Amino acid sequence: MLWTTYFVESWKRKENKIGDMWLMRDYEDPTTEREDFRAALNIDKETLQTEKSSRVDTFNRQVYIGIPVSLFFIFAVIGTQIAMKMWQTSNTEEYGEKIPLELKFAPSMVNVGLIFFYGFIYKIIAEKLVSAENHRYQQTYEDSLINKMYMFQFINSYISNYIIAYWVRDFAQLALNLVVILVFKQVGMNLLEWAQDKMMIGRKLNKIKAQFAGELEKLDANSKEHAHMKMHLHMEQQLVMAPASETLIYFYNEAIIQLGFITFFACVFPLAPLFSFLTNLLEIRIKLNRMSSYSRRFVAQGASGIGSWMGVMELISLVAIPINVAILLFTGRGADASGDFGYSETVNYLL
Amino acid sequence: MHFDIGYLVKSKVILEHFPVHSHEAERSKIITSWNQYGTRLSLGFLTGKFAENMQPLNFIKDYYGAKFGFYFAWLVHYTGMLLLPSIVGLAIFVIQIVKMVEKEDSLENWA
Repeated sequence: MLWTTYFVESWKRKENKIGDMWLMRDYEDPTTEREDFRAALNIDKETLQTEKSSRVDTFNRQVYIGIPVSLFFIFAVIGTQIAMKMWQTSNTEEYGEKIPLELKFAPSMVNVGLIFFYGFIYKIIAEKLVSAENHRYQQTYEDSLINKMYMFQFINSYISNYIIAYWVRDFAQLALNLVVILVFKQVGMNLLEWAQDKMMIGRKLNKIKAQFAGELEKLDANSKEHAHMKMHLHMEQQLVMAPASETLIYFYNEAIIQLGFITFFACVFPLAPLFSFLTNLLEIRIKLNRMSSYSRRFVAQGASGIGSWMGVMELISLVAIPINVAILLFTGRGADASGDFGYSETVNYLL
Repeated sequence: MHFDIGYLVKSKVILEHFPVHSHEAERSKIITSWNQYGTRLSLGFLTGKFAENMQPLNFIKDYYGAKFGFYFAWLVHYTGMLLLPSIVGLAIFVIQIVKMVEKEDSLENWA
């Protein structure tokens, strides 16, 4: 928790320093208009100038459609998790103390699957919702998407841990669940991205290259046609690359969720930061590679910092305090009774 | 002359429109410089000497724009900062293992 505060505060300082270096410190978003903003053109009677007015009521759609749908999904996630908990208790009743190993791991594995599954569905829904809101400016569009994504992911990613920590109150089980989620989610996510790049896009790129290779050989290497054909190849390759949409929001979301895992459950799994450090190094490499070779070029945008994510980070560092204290209070006591894994000692050290 | 590109796409005159990548060499520069300076940069965010190793971030900023530049700067900063709790975490983990082994030893002695 101390670390999070230090991390957030020191970032503020560095952000300003980098902003200074890049001459971006006082940059203000010139309210870039979105390309797919659907508007009706009106002529103002007094000034005789055309004005754009949105075809739909953005605010009403945000409040009366966006929030209920998001809440519905959140309740669906909570409902599934309660069902999971029932399944777990029925397992314990059936086998008593001697739960087979695969059944001990199974709930956590299913949790990872559920997180992926719900995250995938909600991503599609959220994008539909936000584009239906018909935002005029890039900034409001992004804020709306960030709010929806984070509100949902906050519940989706951590709910199984909360239930185990505050309801089942089993420290060893919580640790197991956390390890499985953290390891499989991080490694799985990276592997998935890597495989998607190499298998799907990389294969298409090679196919196009092979198609053009024969024609390129026929032409003289210095001729105008050769250069033209090369350009054509370049364009065709760009066409099959992944479209550059709101990628940055998902990049941030991923990293912030990981930060949440580390800070909220710091006292449960001490190796989490080390593990995240290693996967992050890998992730930076994969992302850089992906952005340059497997994705279309992003439209360069200015910024004076990380924007709304600063507030999210501050929120995390605040919320982390009660969550950690509650875990130690409610769950730590259970560990003393069972006394395994030496976790009660950890609690003593931390307190 | 003004083109309504959205209309042209919808009426299938144009297939798609997007900014294209520049030459391969320009792009591979980012990864090469990350391989060279990445570790020093992440450590630099921890010690405060990051300004000397900004090359990869500068390339990213020049190519993808400042918004992506700030994202990567933040991510590298976060990764570097993770070293602090990971050292503490590793220490706690070792202590736990040692305690666990001691406990098992004492239990065996009791039996």
